[in-house]
Amino acid sequence: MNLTRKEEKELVLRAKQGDSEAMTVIYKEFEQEILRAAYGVTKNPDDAQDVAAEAFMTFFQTIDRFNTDYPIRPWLHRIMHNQANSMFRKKNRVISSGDCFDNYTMEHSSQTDENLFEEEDVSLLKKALNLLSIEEKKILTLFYIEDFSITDLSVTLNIPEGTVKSRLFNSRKKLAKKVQLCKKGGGF
Amino acid sequence: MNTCKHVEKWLRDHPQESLPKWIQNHIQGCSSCKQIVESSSLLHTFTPVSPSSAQYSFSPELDWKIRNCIYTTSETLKNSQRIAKKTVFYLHRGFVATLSAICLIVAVFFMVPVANQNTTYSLLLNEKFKEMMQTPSSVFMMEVDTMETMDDHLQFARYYCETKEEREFLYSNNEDSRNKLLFVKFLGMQSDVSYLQIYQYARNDLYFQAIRKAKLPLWKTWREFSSYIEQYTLLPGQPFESFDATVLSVDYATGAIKTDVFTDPLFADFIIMQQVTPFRTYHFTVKTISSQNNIVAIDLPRENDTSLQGKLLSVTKNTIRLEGFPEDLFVSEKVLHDETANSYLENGEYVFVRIAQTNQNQWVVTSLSVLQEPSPRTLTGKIVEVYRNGFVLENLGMSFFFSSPTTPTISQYDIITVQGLDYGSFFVVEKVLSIAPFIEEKEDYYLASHKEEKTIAREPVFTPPNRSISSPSPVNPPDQMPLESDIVVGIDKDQYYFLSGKTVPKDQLSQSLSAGESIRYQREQNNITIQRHFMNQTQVVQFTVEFLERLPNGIEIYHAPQDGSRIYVFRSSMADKGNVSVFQGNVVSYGTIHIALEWRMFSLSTLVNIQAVVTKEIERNSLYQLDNGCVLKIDDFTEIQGHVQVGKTVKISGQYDQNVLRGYIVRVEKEIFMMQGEIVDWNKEQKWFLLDSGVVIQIHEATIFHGQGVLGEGIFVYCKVYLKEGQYVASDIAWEENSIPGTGDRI
Repeated sequence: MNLTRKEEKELVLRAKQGDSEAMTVIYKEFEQEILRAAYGVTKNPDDAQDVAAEAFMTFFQTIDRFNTDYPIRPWLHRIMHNQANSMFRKKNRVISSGDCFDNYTMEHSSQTDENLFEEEDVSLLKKALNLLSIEEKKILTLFYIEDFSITDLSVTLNIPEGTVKSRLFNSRKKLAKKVQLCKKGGGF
Repeated sequence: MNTCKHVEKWLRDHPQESLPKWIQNHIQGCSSCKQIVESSSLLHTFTPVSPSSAQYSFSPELDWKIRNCIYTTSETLKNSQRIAKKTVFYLHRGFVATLSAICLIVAVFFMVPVANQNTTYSLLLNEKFKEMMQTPSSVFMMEVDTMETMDDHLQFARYYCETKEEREFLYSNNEDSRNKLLFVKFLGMQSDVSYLQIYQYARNDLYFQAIRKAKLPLWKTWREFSSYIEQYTLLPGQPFESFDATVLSVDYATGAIKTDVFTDPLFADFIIMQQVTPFRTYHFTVKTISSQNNIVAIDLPRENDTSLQGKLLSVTKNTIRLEGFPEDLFVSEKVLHDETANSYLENGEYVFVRIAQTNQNQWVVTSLSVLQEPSPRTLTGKIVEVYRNGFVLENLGMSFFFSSPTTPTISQYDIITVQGLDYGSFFVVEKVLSIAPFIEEKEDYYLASHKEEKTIAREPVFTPPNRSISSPSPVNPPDQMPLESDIVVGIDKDQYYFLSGKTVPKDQLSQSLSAGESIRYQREQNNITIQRHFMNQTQVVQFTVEFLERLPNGIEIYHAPQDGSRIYVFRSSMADKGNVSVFQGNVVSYGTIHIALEWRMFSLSTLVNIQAVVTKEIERNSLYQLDNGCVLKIDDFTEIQGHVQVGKTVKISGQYDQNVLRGYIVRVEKEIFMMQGEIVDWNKEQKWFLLDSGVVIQIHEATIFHGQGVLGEGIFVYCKVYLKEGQYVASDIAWEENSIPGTGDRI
């Protein structure tokens, strides 16, 4: 996650030329994030490993067609999600994007190092988040927890940046209300 | 408000940073921002997963698999790049070499003289022209080709010599190949160079130089000249052939037309058969299908030939003399042995010839056909087929043609006596001695006072174009009754019901009428003679109507207040059921008078009104399944407002008919959407704004505002909109969520 946009673009350009070193840097840069996200979606360490590995391999195999104007991360996430979906299809398990995200969010929050945060606050936030719609949860978590930029969110969610901003605003406003509600002990 | 916006923007742009002082100050006094900042910081702090603390990594097998994939992909990409580079390099080298070679060849081809100051290109072009000029037989007139026998030199001269210069040139050089002569003519036409100058080059096969002299482009001239001579060359297998030919006989029964061009007949359809007459020349376009020559088009002849027919008075080696023509006719051996001529000619034979006059005032026969000598005859018979230029008589195996363009008016089944010339296979009518109309078939059209005359006049009475027949005229009887007009509104088993209120028994009319027909008739005692009847086109209409009155014959008149029109209805049952009704039906309209043919009338208060969503189209445009379990039936008279389709909400006024709701009036409801977003562009003058979602929303006078907010850039709004002509129009706008009453699809 330490790559700047410029560095990322240079790496992609090198990778497109067949530079294995550049590919390896990309792989190592996003390995943990994608694995973590895959685990959130699949809820199974083995499946997560397979899905993430397939996502990386698909990404590298098609890197010559990758548009350098786009950031890598949303694409990797999207590929990973598609791989997970196709895996679920093979296993005859239907999963909606909302479900995936729900699992992901909850899994992620369960991974939180509770030393860094008060148990009460975690519980409060979990409750408040649960009161939001899946779309609202998704946009907030990707923005705050996964540090997605507005552009990344626009690419990932396939919506205009203006819509990302307005959704973010509304979701945050709603979350604030829900947190207040939870603090007062209502809304459940 | 502005500061709140700035807070929002800052939070959006700096999700991971601690709050600056101005925000901290602001949230002291703004509870809304305070809540948002708290939740944001909660979320922010809730992101404790740092890469170092995570335990996520691939298993060694998968790690190796991914690295292997990276290596393989890398190799593949490198190889493809190498090949691409090489290809570009080779292509580049190859391209330069090829270009150089082409330039060299072109230079040699066009610029460098190789022999006698001629370049390779000029030599090649001259050779091509030479080859073309050495095939003199390939140039001929179309008639010559199709007849194969005519004196084509004369034909060629006739075609070639349009000016004096051409004539002089042709006669002084007529030994040369025709292609060469055509080349001179062609170049002469294209430039100012004289025929003689061009001919000097062409004679020595220096066509390249001739074209250069004429200052014309080489290749283009070659192409144009090729197509110039091609249009006078008929190649085997050409789909269409066009030529002038004189008709020698026509057989209406078989559609066969014999001409002086082909021995085999040409075949024509009914339309073309209408146009042809023996001994006239036409320009035919013929297509050969399965060895049969079919005429596909007929036109005026291109050449105005003179034609003659008569007995041969004398036949010499090169000339013939015809009875009635004072001069000898030059005839080439080819024409004499033409297949249409059948045999060697002998004195006394009856022939048909086409002749053309040469510049030396010599008459040349261009076609010659031997015919059966016609004999004068008088024939009588019943006409079984009528054509524009002739007819066919019953039991006589020949076709009859009028010799004069003014033809008498004859009809099928007339019995006709004609005088004319019998050519064996056809008959040329010179005089019509009598026409007796076929009375039995026509007596329906005569009045009762008409006295039948079936006798065929023995003396000639026909003098075209005036026809004199002793039969009385069918219209204008001596005791003429006044004409009356009416419209048939209804019919039952025994009677007609007219718009005037009259009722007429069917047996008083000589012919049957249909409802909606406008008639003009004469009444005489108990008989009614219809002089004229017609009916306008029917149309489906809907009117709000009021009952006006009932005529003595039971016909009801309804008044449509919206346009003042009147609807005449035969045997309606609505008059008693209320004053105002809706009329839907199929009518024949004469101005503001509408005669109802099929209809329904109903009072809106008696209809069932429901609103439902269409869930399925059972039968295209007529049967729909509704979400309330009903089946909606739409018929020809249903008034539909909007486009009924699956997913649309419809308001239906109709009546139940065996579990099916027959829709009398179906209105498709407006599609309502709820939209929300920040205004990113606001046009106050044109009354529209653009939401950050990219949707443009129009405001109009009827838009309802819920709340006290203002519209402007950066303001967040909630809108209830509907689609109108592809544009979103706001019916309601609010600044707070849930302030707009009603629901709709959320997008």
